[in-house]
Amino acid sequence: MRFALILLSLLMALPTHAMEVQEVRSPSGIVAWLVRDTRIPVVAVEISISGGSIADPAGKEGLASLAMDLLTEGAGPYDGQAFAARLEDGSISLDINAGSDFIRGGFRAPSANAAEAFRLLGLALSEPRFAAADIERVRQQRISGLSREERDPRTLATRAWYATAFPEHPYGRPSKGTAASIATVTREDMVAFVKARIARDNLKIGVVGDIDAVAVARLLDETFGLLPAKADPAEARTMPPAASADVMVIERPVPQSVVLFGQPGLSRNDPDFMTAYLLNQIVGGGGLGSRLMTEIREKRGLTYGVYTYLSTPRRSGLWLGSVSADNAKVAEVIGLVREAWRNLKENGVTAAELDDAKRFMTGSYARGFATSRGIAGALVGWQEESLGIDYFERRNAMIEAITLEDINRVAKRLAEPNRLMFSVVGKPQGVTPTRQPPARG
Amino acid sequence: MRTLRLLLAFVAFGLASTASAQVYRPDSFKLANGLEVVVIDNPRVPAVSVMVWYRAGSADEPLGKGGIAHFLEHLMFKGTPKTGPGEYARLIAREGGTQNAMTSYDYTAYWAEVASDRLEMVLQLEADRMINLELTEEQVLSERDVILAERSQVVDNRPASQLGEQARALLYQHYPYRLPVIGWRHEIAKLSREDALNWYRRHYAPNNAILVVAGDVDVARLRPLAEKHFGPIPARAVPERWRPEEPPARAPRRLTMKSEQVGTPSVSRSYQASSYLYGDTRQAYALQVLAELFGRSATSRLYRLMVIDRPLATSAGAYYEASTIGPGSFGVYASPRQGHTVEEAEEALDQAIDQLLADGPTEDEVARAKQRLSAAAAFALDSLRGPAMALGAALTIGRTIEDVESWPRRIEAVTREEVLAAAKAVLRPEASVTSILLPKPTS
Repeated sequence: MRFALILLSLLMALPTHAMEVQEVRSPSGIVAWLVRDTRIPVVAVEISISGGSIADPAGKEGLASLAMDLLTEGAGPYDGQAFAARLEDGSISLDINAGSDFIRGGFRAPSANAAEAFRLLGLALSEPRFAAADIERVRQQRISGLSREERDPRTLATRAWYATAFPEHPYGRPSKGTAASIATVTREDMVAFVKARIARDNLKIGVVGDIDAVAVARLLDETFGLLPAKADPAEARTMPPAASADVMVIERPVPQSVVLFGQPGLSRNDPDFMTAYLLNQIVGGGGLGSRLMTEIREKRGLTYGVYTYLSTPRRSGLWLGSVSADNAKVAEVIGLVREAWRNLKENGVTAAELDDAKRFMTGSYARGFATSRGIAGALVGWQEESLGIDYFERRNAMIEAITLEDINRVAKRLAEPNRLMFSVVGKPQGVTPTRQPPARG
Repeated sequence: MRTLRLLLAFVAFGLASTASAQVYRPDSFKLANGLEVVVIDNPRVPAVSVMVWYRAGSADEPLGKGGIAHFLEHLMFKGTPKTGPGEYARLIAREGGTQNAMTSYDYTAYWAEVASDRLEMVLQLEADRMINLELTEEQVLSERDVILAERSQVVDNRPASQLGEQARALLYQHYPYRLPVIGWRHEIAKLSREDALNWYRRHYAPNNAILVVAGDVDVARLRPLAEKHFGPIPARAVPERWRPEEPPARAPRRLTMKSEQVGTPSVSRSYQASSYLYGDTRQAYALQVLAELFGRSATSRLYRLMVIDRPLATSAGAYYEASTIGPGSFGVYASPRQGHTVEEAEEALDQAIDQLLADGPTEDEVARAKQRLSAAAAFALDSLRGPAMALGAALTIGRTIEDVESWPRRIEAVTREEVLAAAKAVLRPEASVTSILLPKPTS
């Protein structure tokens, strides 16, 4: 068997430990990134397929995610129960899920069962059965799950925020669908979706564990070789969130209000992205020590938790945050968040804050690679974002290079108190809504 | 932080994490002051997970002070004369580490994960706060508000959590597991600085703690560091753990709750059961096999009968919690499919239980369940924190390293007859609580 093996040795800047990422190319040209680790008898795989629920037609929201749930409910020669039994008897955990921009899937298996796990993944992707009874069961499970989620304050707050920020855009629609939209999805819809999306030119693969490049190259062809060569395009326009300085309130009879807040962020390939990442760490990303945790939790005892994060869907960029507070206190909490935003815009951050954030982000990076599936996920994430096979090696140096000037320039650029939008679910006291939440889809 | 993980974590650790001949291959030693130390050498990444476990949980609390164990867990981050308020978290973060803590019925545990060359810093901080905690009135009152907000978030905003809390209060008639770990709101609201310090002085001592370090570390490196930082802390008299015994259960109990926040009806039933350390402890292994074959996978009996073959439910399953000092619990649950009622779902659960008790599981069901459980040991070391969690939780409740390491063998030794006998001992209506959660139309 012939295969090309491109070796790029990437050493962690840490004594006695190395993480070497190899590019493996199969005889038919399918590429995977591999981290070989023989210390424990486990193999993990992560795959990414570009184009998820963004391609769902209006009225059929949830099509992609329902179709992906069904891939592991019977494929090839196995009905749903036989497929599940093969997974269980091989101690293989296998899943495939649709996000909005990407389908992600993969498995973790004892290395003795790795070939079987690859085979089952390949069957799920290329020969799903979509049996009528399974479709109906999974549809019912989805409807049941949605009826739970649709009463969950956090889900309500999130949906209202996104629907307002992304009118007429797939990001504004629920990727898992609604009871009504799920009811309209047919077998033909799902078969067509799989045929259009799951293809070799659309696939990123990460492999980790006790398996060598020769075996991986062979398994790549066996697993993915039967997939169509080309996927249909899944297009959607790029759109920053239409966030305003508004507050929406959805009344629900719960003692604590749940708040989602956010403003436009940066796209993942923005040159300021890493700097914004550090900035977020300081504002609300770092657990106990962040500015928001200090002001709202530590000093005033108003919440159990408040955090912020950058979200980078492929066609947008968001800076979001979440907090819960008892109904009587939530108005004060919203005021403190706004105050933190104004303060950031006007005064930036201090050298000490920047130093702490850099030390945390560089020092914690290697620890994220403690589980096989976690490493496989990172390998695929770097491919999705075209960060390069040497990203692991370069990443900390990029953070180290960020200066106080940089971060304070980005603080001014990024923080937009006038576009910080709040979505509140509960019975908040003293909060005046300035905007109607969108009608439920 | 301070995530209160009510370790209802079915057989969580012990189970998901064990191996054939051996599982974690830990080393252990004891300091002169009684501190037990466990080391798991697992150098997958150049990092360590450091955990300090105290043999003090909510089930050890005096009546009327419900939630004090968890309250102190929060307050342990407030500082010492050497480490200012909030400094603990900041110091760990500056070294690229993360930290948190958790309180359960039988223990309180603190953990930090750092690069392995920062191990000593964590040991120093943990040893310091084992004896030198300082608390101001202001800090205590503000943190009490945080805990009340936490209670709102994790219990009072969630009907399913509220119902679960009520169900536990009925499942255990006398044993303190009937009380919520976080405490009842009215009692939390009265906890004081003095209560917290009393709890601290009573339970926090090296001879009442276990240090577990997992990751890129070995005994040769850890022992001198542990001696240096924890060695000087004197042993102190700590109260012996006393727990009551449950009286016989005589009547099945039922609860029904309706809420506008509920979308889908569901039924769940829990039974008091033996655990690793309570009652007929040999049953603990057979009950894990029982839960696995009855309802912990997509090919289990309950799922097959209720979700696949006669599809009247969207979910159906079983669980068992063995890792407790007191009685464990075995449970079943289901949620009806559209067009079916919760009564039908409960009836189907009853039928499945009756059939199991009449005929027992098949040899094949038992063999597959045992194989699935013990094969999970392959993954035991595919995690930095997992091994430290598993060993810490086991040792803190009074199990041994040998118990943990022999888990796969004990599971493999379970017979069909033992599974049936355990099922008969546990699945008794009079020892059960059935909870029904129903939607209520929005007014």
